[in-house]
Amino acid sequence: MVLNVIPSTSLRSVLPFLAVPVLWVMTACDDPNELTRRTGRPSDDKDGAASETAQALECTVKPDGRSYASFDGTKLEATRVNENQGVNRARLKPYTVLAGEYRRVLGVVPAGLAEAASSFDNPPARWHADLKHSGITIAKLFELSFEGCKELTKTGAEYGAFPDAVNAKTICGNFIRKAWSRSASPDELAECTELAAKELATEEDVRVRWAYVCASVLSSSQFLTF
Amino acid sequence: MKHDPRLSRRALLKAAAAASGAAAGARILGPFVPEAAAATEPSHFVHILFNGGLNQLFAGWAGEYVSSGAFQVTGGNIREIGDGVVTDKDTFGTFPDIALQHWAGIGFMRGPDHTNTGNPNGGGELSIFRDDGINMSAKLAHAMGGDSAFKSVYFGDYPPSQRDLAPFEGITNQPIVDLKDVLGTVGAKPPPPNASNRGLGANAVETALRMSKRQIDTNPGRLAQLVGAYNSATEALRKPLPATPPLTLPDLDAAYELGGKTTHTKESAPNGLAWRVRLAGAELMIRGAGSNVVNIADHKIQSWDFHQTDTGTEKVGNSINGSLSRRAFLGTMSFDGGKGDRIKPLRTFLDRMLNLPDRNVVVCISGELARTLNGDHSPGTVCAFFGKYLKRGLMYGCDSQVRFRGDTPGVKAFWAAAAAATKVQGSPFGVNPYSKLIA
Repeated sequence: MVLNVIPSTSLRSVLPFLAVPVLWVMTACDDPNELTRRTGRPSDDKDGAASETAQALECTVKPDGRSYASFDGTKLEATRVNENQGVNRARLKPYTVLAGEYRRVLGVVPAGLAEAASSFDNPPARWHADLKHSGITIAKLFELSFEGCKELTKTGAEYGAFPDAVNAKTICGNFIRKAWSRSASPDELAECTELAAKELATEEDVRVRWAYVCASVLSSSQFLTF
Repeated sequence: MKHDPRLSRRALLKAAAAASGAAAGARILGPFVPEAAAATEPSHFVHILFNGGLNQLFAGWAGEYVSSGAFQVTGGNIREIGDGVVTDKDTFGTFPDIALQHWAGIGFMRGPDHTNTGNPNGGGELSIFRDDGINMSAKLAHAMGGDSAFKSVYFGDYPPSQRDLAPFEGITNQPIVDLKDVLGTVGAKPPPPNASNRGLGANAVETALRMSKRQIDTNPGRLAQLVGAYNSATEALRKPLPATPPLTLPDLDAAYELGGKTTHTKESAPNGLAWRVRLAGAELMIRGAGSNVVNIADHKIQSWDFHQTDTGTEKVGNSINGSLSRRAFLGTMSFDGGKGDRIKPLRTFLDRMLNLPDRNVVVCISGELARTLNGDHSPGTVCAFFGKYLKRGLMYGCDSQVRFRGDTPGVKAFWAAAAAATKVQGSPFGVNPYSKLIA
């Protein structure tokens, strides 16, 4: 058997094409929401902050699938939701995993969590129903997160400085990266920074001020979902 | 308050009204109500649904069955309330005087496509709460106006008929699970010493919503309802704590015999206790949070769907739904879900709510289907409306053969009646055909 040696010229011409998919995957994996996009769909703006509408979440290419007729002649696929791959995947985390999640992010579990099971929606037994949060639950989650975040921010030199536009960007970015397991988009970072630098001025305790910021990140849907 | 064009539409309208001084020191009634027409007392609509159907004899039509003895109705177990309203003596017949004086029984057609119950894809319950895809409870809450942070809420959703309804104008139906959380959020109890500052907490929650926008946009199926939840939490936290709590947990515990329980899931509060917690919770949401619409469902699937007949064979023979329902209402059944008196707490609730001097509380008790003589489902249903401004009587019910008239109104008419009873301006649900009783 003779091995065909790949000419170096051919290798050089192939390498750029090999690199592109790797770069794309790296970018896509950094933000799970990137994986919702097919080629040929309206592209994101350069900073990756999409403003997709429900229409944009629809399939752009009709799938090749079988047609199934019901007993009355209606097509079963007629009521199939026109939805692209990868969208509508987020689901709210149940109460039972929150202790582990808080420990992962904060290193501690808020003491109030142990008694908070009854505060969470509990879909009926033997019904397939997704968890729902009410305003009461969101307020409760915020308080639990605030309690835990105060434990985090009571130490650490970075939380000893009052927030400004510069350090808020760094600390917000770190909070988000830890809590959401991905980097913040520019819009998300801007919102967090705005809160830290401008909307908590009446809190005199600087470390508590950072606890509000941390709790806001943990109250966002990106932490509350999987 | 930070001004941001990306605030919810509801918040923007409120901000505009406040800036113009139109609502200074007064309640904000929503975008469609001229200030000159502002009501002087807030209204609230409570819908109590007995899943599986409320037998029409309880809703006021017991008189139709005395001569035949259908549903075990006799001259000895009924009470004639007046104006044609006749009901079961030992259950609904024990309601407080104010309920008996202002009892409007109405019937409407739910439609044959929804004859079954317990079907989350289109059962009888959904045919009442959803019409042409519209979340009717949320629509009513929107039409009622007001500035409650929790405009449409529900207790118990079994089988699920509330949880997946789409928002209406940003209003979602929100599940209420634990009353002690409600007390804290609406400020009906003082916060613990280490709690967050409510205003700063509101800023943080509002920011959380903004940070969540992208994910919510790309996951609308499951996360769209979060927008209403975030907004409610923010609005509740922004409200100042009342100088005097409107009511306390000890008040509710004493009135409804909660025994310290504040949750109403089956596991935490079986049978009658869950029911009592839900009624107490409804009162809390009305008096503490100003909720416009409160839905309460009894806590077990098809617990009122008694098909049994005197032959033991379904749909063959005479229905014994009347006696079984009576036993279930009085909590004398042996099986899980049939225990626990429903009537005494309901009596307490009606007495406390209908007699509130500064609120117009309208309570509607219904099921999603009337019961046929052989124990099956009727395509129509009946409900009993109670409210201090309602007249007493019956309209568009079913006869002794459980037949509804051909001109019996549909579901929209039910909501038109609810809107009229709660003094909603205009006709957001169309004509109210029950205006002789409910206006």
